[in-house]
Amino acid sequence: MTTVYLNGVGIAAPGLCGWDEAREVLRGSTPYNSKNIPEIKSDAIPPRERRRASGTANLAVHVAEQAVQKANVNPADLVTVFASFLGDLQIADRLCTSLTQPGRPVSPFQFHNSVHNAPAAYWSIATKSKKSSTSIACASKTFHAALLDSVSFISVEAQDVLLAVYDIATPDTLANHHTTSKSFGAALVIQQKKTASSLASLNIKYKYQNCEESNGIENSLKALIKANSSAQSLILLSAIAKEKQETIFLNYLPGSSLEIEVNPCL
Amino acid sequence: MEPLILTSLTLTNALGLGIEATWRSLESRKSGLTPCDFEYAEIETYIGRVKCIEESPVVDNLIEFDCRNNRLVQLSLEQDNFIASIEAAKSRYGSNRIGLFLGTSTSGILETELAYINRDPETGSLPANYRYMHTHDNFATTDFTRRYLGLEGPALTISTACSSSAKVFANAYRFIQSGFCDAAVVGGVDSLCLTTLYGFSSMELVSTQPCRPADKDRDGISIGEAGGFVLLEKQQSTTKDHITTFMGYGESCDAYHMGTPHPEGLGMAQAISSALHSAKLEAKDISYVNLHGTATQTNDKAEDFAVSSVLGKNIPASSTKGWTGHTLGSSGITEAIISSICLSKNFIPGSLNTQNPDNSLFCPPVLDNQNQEVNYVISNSFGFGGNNCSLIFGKAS
Repeated sequence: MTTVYLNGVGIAAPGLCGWDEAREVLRGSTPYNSKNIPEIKSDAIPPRERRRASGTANLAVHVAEQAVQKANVNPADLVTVFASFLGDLQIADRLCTSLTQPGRPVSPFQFHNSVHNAPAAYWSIATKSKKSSTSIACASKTFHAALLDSVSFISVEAQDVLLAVYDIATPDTLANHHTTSKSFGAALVIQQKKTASSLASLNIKYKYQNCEESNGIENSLKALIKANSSAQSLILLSAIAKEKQETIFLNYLPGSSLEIEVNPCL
Repeated sequence: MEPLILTSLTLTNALGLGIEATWRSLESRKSGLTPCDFEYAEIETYIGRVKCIEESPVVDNLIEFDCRNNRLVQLSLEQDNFIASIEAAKSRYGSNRIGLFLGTSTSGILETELAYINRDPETGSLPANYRYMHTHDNFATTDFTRRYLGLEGPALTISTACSSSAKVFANAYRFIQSGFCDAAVVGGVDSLCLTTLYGFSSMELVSTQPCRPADKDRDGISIGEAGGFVLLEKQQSTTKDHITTFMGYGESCDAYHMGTPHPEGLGMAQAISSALHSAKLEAKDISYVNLHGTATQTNDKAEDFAVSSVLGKNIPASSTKGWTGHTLGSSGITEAIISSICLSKNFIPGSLNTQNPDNSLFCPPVLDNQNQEVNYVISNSFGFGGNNCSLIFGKAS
């Protein structure tokens, strides 16, 4: 089992605009204000591309940039694990609408932005990062899969990792058939070594049984987790914010779970 | 990497159901591409269509997953005694110690496309029987496969466009080495849909003719559908005969452009080099390269730069997309299994549909089928957004 270091966090969701604000909310020092909507600034994407890039691409790049700045690392040195439950359903909605029109006028931008790895591609182009990049999905357990994937890169390939998990609100037409009602994005820089930016060390174990899930999160945030399954990452981030040694438990697929020992780096 | 072994394989595509159908078509140089007759698609092009999907709904106990993509999952799993191999593996390892890593680029998006076409004209509501989670969702393909096979280990979908079901091999390796599972099923399924037919058309990347990789006048892809699955195990874990060895992998990004590859194939070259390094092999050890070879002007040229710069200009290379079409998210697994066929049969397929070879390419493609010793094969899969993966396979040792 490998010890890894969480060295930078980015976050963008209602009431959680960046790690500095989110940390205080997760600790209970500042009340949660869900009306405070983050302004998504994906500066790494050139302005002309930013207009054309999808909602998920802008969100993913925004939180990834934050995490990399906090970790004080060169993004080109990081393998990227980008993870989204839904991908960009706003684009899927527009694309499927185009398909109902005469001539089915799908635009090239709609199409290449519709691929699940479009956000990761925008990131790699913006940061000139040529290292391995993956884009994964595991329904409501997407964050959990991304954590396992990230740890496997570190322990098997000795690579440092940028993990980004992000989902945007489902467009109206599809909302009866799946509901993600709020946007949420978080990014974690996870490295092999402790640095001056380290928040905590993590020991992540894969367990062959379900667990009683950790429930130490502020009550006001539970609605956000219900509204967007990527926000399950807050269960881990909450432990990080509290700066206390803690072991947290997250159920993964039926019959399995993650046990994460968190040791703060103070 | 420490080699893993492929102990069971299955492949279904336009050439037919099961690996034997693909082998016979490769040998007889018979393409599976046919004029596009896909419902709602009025595009002049050729496609690699799997027959009998329409007559093959998914099993009753998983009927909520019924859609073209999951039907192709089921059809594929039912060939080549794959299910029996998985049952035996579950007895050996335990169903919760076998991981599942599948690639798909469009999953069951066809269901959403059809739901939009059949919207209520007044309210815009989608039909009540539309089921997003079991069909279109990125994890639906993997979820359906997991339930169908009764697997309970870690699982996820990789969706990196055309490199998806090549990267699954690397994923499985990392998870096995990390101890999250002891063996893994890897593969991929992508099926015909309007998104890719009209999407690639809008980018002018679709040919009106059967695709012609490495041809001077090549003008685009032929979209195909396929399902393929492989059981990967550690060499020391089984006394079973194995078919092929997974020796190495390399993954990289172009960091160049969303829709076109780096013109000199720098990212592709990086993936190939990394794969050689991972397999502890040199260029001279490679018997054959199964190219990504999509038959666009840009891919084939960029890939040629990459292959010739790393492996030299005399390396036997060809694309097999003239047979299967470009099966997108399932092209990685399709061509990994074709690589396995080449190793088993000591066979190199000559590039199909290549009428006038592009002599500006540094590495001329093999044009006719060759029967010669094949020891190590590289399989390239390069996806949209510059996502690159090269795999190396070797004979059963």
